[in-house]
Amino acid sequence: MSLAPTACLGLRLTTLDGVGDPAWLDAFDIVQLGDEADDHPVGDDPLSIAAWLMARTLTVGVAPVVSSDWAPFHVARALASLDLLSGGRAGWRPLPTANPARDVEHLEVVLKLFDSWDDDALVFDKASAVFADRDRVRRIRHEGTYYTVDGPLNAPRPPQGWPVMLGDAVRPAPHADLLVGDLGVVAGRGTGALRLATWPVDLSWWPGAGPVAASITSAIAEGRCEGVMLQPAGAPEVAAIRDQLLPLMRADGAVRTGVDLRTRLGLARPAAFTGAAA
Amino acid sequence: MSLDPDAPGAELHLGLWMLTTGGHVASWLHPETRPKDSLTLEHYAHAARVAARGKFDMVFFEDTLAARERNGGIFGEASINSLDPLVQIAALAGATSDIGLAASFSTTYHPPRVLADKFAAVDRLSGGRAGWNMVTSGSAAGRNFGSGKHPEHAVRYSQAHEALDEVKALWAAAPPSPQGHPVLIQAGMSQWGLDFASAHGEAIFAGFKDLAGGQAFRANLRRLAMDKGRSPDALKVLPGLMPLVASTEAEVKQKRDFYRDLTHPALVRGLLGERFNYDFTDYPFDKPFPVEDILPTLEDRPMIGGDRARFVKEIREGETVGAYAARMADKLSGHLTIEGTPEQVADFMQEWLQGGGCDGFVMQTLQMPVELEIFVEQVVPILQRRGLFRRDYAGDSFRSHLGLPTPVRA
Repeated sequence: MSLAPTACLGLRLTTLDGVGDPAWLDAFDIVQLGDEADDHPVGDDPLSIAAWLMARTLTVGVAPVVSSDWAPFHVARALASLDLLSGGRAGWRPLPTANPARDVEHLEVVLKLFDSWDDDALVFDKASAVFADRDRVRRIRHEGTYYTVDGPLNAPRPPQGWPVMLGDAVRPAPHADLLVGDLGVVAGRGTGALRLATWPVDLSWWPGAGPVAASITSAIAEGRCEGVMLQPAGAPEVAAIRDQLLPLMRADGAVRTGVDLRTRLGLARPAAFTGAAA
Repeated sequence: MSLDPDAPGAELHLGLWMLTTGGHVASWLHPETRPKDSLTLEHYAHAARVAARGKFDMVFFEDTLAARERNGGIFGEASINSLDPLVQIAALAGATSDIGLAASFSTTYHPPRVLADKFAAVDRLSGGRAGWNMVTSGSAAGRNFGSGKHPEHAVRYSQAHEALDEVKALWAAAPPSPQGHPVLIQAGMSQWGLDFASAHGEAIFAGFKDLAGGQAFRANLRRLAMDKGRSPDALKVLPGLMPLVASTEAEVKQKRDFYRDLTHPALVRGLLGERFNYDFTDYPFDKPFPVEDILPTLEDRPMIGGDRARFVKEIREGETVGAYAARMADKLSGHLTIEGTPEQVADFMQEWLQGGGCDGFVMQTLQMPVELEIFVEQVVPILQRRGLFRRDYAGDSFRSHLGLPTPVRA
């Protein structure tokens, strides 16, 4: 029942209730913080929880949901910061607003800001006092329907190029790296993308860890998805995942390793900005 | 508790101002600085742990919402750190214990829900160690947030008042924090700043030219707070201070020369270019300051022209660029500086505390972490022996370190 080493094991947390010392979360490839409804209580900010979690773990990817209502400059800077400070473990899940056209432009601005610094812009040349090469950092001069953003970002390009982006399998945002949705939906999406089937864990209808692990491994073995996103209903379910399900699924040893999250998941790194200078 | 606005504080409060590689403009060029480290969590976690070993009240991250620029490009000669300060303190909540975690965040460019949510989250994740420095942001931010027009003072300040009311209401409706709510910090010395600080501020960042300036500011602020029904001891005035510490007076002079020599000419030219919006890249240091050429660029940019005009006034008649730069080099940080042996630095801090000029300091160290370690190992023990600074934390929360009352929930 143990997962294939290539399978992607995800966990969605909306709070830290029941998590305790989060070191055990390194058994996962990615933890999504926050749910898709974007109505979390004050004090459950997914980005802050992701940053805390990153500091208490070694290898797991941390992917906060981020509202597309927050200005793209803030979003780009926060995610670049999370990716830098975690050494390339950041993911994110942009949350749509009621205006899809604006969301598309929002994402475009965020990605342009990531690319406003070339990968090799940081020089650190003490002899000539060049910290960053001015010619490898540029304004984005975005003037769109909804946003006017000059740039550049005041943080270098994230180590992963762009943090790994999770998207809804039904209506994925452009450039989504991982598609997340019901097994039936992701199974129908073909094998082009990395697909994670959402897997609710609720002890009120829990057949036991053995059967759950068996259905997950068979869904992956049958090629219906490349991984799962476990969705515990509450703190007792978090404990059941940690104490019962995880030992079955990670019989090969708990900790995932890899250069960065993108590399571990086998995702291509977005090329450095090569467009014409602004 | 003292109800005397002139009464000095009994004990110092210390913050560490986290500035990438240090407070000196050339800190990243220091031979012991590994500039790449300033983009890692471990660099900041280490500094925060050193500060916590020194029983500091807090570490503090400022916030800037635009890349630092000069002459049409980024300021490539200076070390950057404009990472999101809330991501940084949330990460430090996981990587440290005891020490307060404060950050600036803008009431102009964040909605109240975001402000309340993030600081409440850090407060909870850290067990009651969060502090919010309420800022309205500098004018450079505007171009990254819409029209490019940064709102005027009056608009920004009324927004700040409204935002704080909303943030407090959101906190009051959320699960209680171990310290009531995050510590409210305010900086700025305008009339508006005084009004806001005396009404809401709990820690006040400020800059003074001399002890008399600090005394007048602190007494005035405490009096204003009393007028508003607050205890004067419910606000702590913390000017910025950058010390140069060495074991002997001869070594102090050596260190001063060392940092001066570290200030690469290209960095100086960059600073001048940033300040005057004029390209000094190839301008000879022995030629007089090109005042006539600079003046038109000031008129082009009226919004920031005010500052530049002030800088121009500081140029002496016929002064060369090199002479001006040398004269300004020590003033470029804008904070109090003190050079001396550990005893002399402790004397200075004692004089300010006991003279009623402040309740403590937000320390910038010339370099991080080396100069921070020197301060913690050499100056802090003297302050402790003199009974001016805690030997250990008395409580768990940032608020308890500052000796502030827990806010009453509505």
